[in-house]
Amino acid sequence: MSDDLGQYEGKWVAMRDGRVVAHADDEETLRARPDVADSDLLFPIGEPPSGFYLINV
Amino acid sequence: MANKKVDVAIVGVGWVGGILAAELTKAGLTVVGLERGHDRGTPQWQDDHDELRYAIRYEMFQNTANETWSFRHNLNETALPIRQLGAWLPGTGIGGAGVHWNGQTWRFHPRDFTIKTSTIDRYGASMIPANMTIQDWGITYDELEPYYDKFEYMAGIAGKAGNLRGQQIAGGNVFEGPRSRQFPVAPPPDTPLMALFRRATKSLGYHPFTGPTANLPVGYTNPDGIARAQCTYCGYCERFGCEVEAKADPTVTVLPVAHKTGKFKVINYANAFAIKNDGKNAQSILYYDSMGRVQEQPADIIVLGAFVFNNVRLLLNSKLGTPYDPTTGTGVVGRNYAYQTGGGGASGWFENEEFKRYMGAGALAAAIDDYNADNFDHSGLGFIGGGSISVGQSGARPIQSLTVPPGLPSFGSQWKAAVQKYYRRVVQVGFQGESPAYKQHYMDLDPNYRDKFGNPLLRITFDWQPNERAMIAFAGNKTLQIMQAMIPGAQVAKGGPLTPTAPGTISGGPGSLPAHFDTTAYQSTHNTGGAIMGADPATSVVNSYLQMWDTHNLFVVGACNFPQNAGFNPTGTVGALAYRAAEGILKYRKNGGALV
Repeated sequence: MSDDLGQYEGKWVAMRDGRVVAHADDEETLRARPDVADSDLLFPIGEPPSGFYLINV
Repeated sequence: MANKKVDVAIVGVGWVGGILAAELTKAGLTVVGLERGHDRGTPQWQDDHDELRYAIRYEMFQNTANETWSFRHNLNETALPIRQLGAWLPGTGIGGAGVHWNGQTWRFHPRDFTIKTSTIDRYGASMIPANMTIQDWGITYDELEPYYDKFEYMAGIAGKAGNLRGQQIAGGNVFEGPRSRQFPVAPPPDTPLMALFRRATKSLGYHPFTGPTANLPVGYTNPDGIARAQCTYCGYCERFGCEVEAKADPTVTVLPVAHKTGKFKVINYANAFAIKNDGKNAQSILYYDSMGRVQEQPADIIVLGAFVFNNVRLLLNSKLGTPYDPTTGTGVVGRNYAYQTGGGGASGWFENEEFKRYMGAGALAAAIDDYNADNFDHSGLGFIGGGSISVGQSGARPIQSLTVPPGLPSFGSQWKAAVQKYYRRVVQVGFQGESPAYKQHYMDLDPNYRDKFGNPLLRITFDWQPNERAMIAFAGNKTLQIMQAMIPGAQVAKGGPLTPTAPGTISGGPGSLPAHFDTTAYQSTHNTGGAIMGADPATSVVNSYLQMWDTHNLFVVGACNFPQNAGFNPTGTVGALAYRAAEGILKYRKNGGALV
């Protein structure tokens, strides 16, 4: 399992102790995997931002 | 030959420089402000509704051909210079970023100032990731409250208190810390869009309120006698100056007060590059003038009041303080660089409802604070922190406001038809999240790249971390829920075919951050840290008066003092810190020595 998050763009990853331990196309599939623990941190990896993103200065 | 010595010399004439100039000259001190940009003011904004010039070509911002930063994601990368503005837009010229800001004027939460202690007290030390270096500010909300109040009355901030001397008030932000008195100006009335957000969030059990704004809804005269007019809702705030002076900025509030005393002088086109010092005392500011010649401005007291990056770079270039070392975690200058975590918003395209989006003001917004800071229980969530959620009506300028629902073409006749249809029908519920500090996020001098004068660039090391990724995923679900309440029955776009009969289309869901921080697309100018304040010289650069621990006649003031960044815009807190520093400088002037 690579820790280069660039490989997981558009996917969900499970992270344990700072390392990626599993990945899947969506959250539901990832949570259902037997190698994913309840205590793992789950989040999606997005794509680089495009266009303008006004967050207000 | 050096310039005439003055009582106080300030680098940067934005909000910090302007507030200090006003307060110190009123107290009788002579003050010089060094500003790298040009002079400017209201007359120049009479015909400034030119989106291409100001918002796309960055008329008001730092020129990266003269000075920029290098950036890397981690210690193993070689940093490369940022050759075009992208992720952030530091201002230049008199008034600094205070001229082109939107006017959102928040107070940080009491918990933000004691974040480490509060997190451990509520959840235990294991809740804080091993490499996260969040720390308490060395000042509490209650101690800073009088200075927030001063800033708000000077600037004429409009809003409704949600906590007045400990009593919660419905309709205001009930999560805010206690205010000693009401806002100086009542909040603007709701637009239909704000009212819709208010109804939707109330129906979900949240606590909506009007965002505190520096865009005056009515005329206001401040305690210094400065009178300003009400907003015309032209929609050109962010990246623009205000032609009617409704938006509080230094050029129409504090700088006229300083100039009126006859004790304030500004030197334009002055690029400060070092503080001359003997290790214990700051003696003068060295700067390049408009011709590139080295000049010297001596002063009894020196203030660094420039943007975050410039203050830190000046300290490092001047060998003031101990540079931070990320491998050992020792040293302080450059430590705890943090940013603002965006993403997690939801967009909605209405089929049956239109809003006058072309009208607006930079800080005209309805918001909820239910998922900010520690206002909700984080047990089991896997992250700390949160952010403010809002729907803003800041105007919809013709170039940057043309979005169409997912699945429609991004060019051609179909796109044109969709733009015409949806220009008045698209809204966004946004999330602005905290950015904690980490051991490996810091600023130092780049060993390879230099600016046009030959001085090292500031090098920034930063990337997104798991805590913020989990926070953004969480926030995205909340903003989606709000948007669904705003457009009942709307379809959520998931990449498949869309239903033409749905009452609306929503793009949202679990938020995500890219694999790595991207410097090329605008995200936020809310950079913080590097000269942080605290109670311990081993982990901070300045004390609670923003006085440098090791050089007592040097004050460093701004968002560089934030030990980490909160889920709010920073200007209200920067203004409060500037008033706090002004008080400290006058105390130092009288008694000398360390103030803490």
